Amino acid sequence: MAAADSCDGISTSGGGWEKTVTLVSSDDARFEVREAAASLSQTVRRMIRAGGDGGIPLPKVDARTLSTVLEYCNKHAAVPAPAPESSSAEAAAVDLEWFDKELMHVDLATLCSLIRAADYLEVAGLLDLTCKTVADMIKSKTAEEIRQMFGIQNDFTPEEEEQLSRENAGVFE
Amino acid sequence: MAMAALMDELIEEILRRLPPSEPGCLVHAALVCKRWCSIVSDAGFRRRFGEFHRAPPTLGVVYNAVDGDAYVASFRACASFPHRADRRGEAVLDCRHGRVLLRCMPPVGENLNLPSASTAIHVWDPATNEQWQVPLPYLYPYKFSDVVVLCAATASGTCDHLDCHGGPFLVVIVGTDLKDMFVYTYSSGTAAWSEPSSIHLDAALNSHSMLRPGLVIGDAIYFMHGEQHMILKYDLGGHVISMIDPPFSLHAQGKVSLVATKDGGLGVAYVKGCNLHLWSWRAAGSNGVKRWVNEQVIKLDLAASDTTGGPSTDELDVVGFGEGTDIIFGTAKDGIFVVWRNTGRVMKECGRTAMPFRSLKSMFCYQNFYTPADCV
Repeated sequence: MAAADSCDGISTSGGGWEKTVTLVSSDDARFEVREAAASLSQTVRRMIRAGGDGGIPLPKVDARTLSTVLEYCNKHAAVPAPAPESSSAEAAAVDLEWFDKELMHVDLATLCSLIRAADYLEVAGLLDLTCKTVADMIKSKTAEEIRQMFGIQNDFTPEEEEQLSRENAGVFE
Repeated sequence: MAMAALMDELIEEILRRLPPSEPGCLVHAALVCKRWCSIVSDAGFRRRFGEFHRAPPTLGVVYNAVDGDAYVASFRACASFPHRADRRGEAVLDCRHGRVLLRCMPPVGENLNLPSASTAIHVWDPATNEQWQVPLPYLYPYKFSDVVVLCAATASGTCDHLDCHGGPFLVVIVGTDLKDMFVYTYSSGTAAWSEPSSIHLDAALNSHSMLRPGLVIGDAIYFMHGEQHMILKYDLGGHVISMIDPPFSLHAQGKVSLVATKDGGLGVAYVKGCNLHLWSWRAAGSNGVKRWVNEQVIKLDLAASDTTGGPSTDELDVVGFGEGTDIIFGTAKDGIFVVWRNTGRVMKECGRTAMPFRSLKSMFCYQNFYTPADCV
């Protein structure tokens, strides 16, 4: 993680001169990021437009979560360097899909933190990816399995539970 | 716990991504706890669930059968869906926009002619199990010939039909005295039938035969009539009737159904020998005049699954099209077959009783988004 004093730094990453911004997590960690990548967050994009010194504060996101979000943004933001001859658009899509899959190999608590961060930072692609990942974990599970997975208390009375099951009879066959 | 810290909006974001083709997933989610139940049973969730997934999945197939001396309207779920019992003494006439149009039927063998004192039609919502009676208009001396049900907002084009199944509907009936055709429209909003629109036919029809099902494309409804297979187009917005000649080769064919083409235009599917021919009504050539174009031929390779010997091509018929899908239904001597137009895949299922009337052979796809009803 590189530190920068200003939110308008210049970096040579990606083979050319690029504008960078500094993001500051809730636990005061500073991340210098290409502006193109940081702008995948609509929240950050608005703050860049508003201007300011000393980095962009993101008080709702801790360093660990922010670093994963930025990993996503860096990969998904258009890279200005020309793509190698061998890499077709299709290969790039496959690569991105593979990257997303790997990024989602985290525990449930981390996934939930990422969902909150993606929502707060308004990174639509990451919100979709994380929510889809949790939905995929839920979809083949029974209500009891979902409760156990998420540590949710069953607050239905047996009568209420029976009524709900009756109304949807046939769904579980 | 991690999940408890998520706001309702974010839990909804997750649950919205459960597959609509498996309604059981949302029911399981509703049973997790009261909080989740209230999220997924909310009307706003249902609306957003539909908007997120765009195209409603096919949750079932609706068709007619005979059980002893009774006609039975059958709903077969092809996904996890609440059980819906067979409806004895009823027949399916149409299905669209999450609604099924049914009529009461006399016992098998008794006179089917409509209108009669014992017949009534009603609209049924399989998702909620609600139903609404539709009084029949006084058609005499014209014969009731065909009928469709559709969302009332179809005429104005203001509905995407993602969550309209409980809302106002229209029932459109076509009647004929062979020389003229009449279209009557019932609106559930006003609970009344419109004055009929009519058209005088250049060539009289030679039968009242019903060739259901009708087809809705945009704000136009298409019906096919008589042994000439004349296609009637009714423009819902302007209440205008016009006639379209069928593809020429259809004159000698009886095994035909209206279908939507891949690009959403008017099409016709018919069986000839062992092949399913698909025609589309499109502007062709430099003058832009519409004409029939033979677009696709799908070989109905049913021999492999036909346990009763070689397929009898005389028995093959095409009996329905799943609007919003690429599914075409057909019947064979000893069962039904399903054709997926886009891939050319053909599947046969044996054991379905043949229906005595062509109009009752029709099969329909039931498409909808199913979300659990009110929370306890």
